[in-house]
Amino acid sequence: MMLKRFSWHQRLAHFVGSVSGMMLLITGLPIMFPEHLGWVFGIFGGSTVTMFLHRVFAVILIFSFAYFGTYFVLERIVRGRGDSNIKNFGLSAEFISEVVAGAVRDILWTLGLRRERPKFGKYDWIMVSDIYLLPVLAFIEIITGTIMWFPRSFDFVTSNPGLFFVVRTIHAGVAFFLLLFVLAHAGILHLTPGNFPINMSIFSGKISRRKAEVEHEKWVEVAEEVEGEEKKSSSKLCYVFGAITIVNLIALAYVPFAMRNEWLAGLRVSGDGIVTFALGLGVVTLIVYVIASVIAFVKGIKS
Amino acid sequence: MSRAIVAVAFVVALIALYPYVSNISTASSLKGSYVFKWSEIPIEKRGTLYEESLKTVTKFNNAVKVLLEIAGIFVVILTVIEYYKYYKIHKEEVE
Repeated sequence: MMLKRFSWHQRLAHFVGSVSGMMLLITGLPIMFPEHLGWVFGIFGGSTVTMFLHRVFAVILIFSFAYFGTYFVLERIVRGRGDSNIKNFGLSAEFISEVVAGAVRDILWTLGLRRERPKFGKYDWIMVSDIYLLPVLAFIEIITGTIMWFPRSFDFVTSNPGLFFVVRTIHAGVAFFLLLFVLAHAGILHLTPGNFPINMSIFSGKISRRKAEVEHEKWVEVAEEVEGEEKKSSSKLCYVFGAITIVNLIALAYVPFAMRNEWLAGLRVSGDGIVTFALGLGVVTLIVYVIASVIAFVKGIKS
Repeated sequence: MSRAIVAVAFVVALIALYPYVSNISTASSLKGSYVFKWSEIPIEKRGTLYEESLKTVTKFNNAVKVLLEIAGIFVVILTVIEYYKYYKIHKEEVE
């Protein structure tokens, strides 16, 4: 038996936002790391085309941010929170403390320091963090990207061109963090046992009742039942891909330690085997994720 | 009501997009000089501004570097913990 987990708009928002976001990372990171990711320019036919594509995907992300942001806020005002456990737009002290307590209890259970796993509603603490953190980071990227795109429209840049480079450092820094975020997010939600090779719930909008009863116990009683067939995943390959992701994240976590402050040129990294490996594997993984997202989205529509 | 929400959201998105779409070719680096240049600053102000911005940029570079170092370690630890959590959950599901 299946339960309706995500609406059509939620699935579409995830798809458009994630594909445009990943494409922005693929086309943007080579600017920050030209020595290590210069080959990406070659894939797209040179740096000029790559930068044009970066702007095209930025437009798609801005559209998705404005459209889905407005849609979800209006939907919440008009229809209420439905089966979601996020109260008062997630802004009340009560809800925040509930999320923090859930996180602590969940981690304690994972580490074997607590007997019972806390019961969660539709969104557990890590999903709530994703839902709030990602739009904030995307907003920072949109604002800083806009300033770099139209520097002459901003007085603080025209009166002091040096501040342009502050904006660029913030834009690049958040982009690098987003690379870590995407790899961690996919590693946790798609490459884990029971989800591997892809957790289809965000693409099909459905989750099996059996899975929901373990992961979102409090939500099951208010969830809507829908037709569909459960597909069980039991491949041991998830451990291989999980290990690759964790190795990649460790290598990427090393990159900031190799960064040098080069004043107006920003944070630079010289030729380093670990950095080249970390960034190269990270970008290749993003390319695979973009392709996988498109295939899963099409499959999700058909299911 | 659903259609009204879609319509309002669509109009908001179009308004947000307008400045970008209308300038996608004119304001891009593809058309050449778009970054504001130091030579456009009056020569008597240039030295002071350059020094000031160098200080600001250095501060931001250092701050971003430290934040990324902390964030990298945090993400690795969290991913390992969460991966193990799903392993435990899956074991429960199977049992």
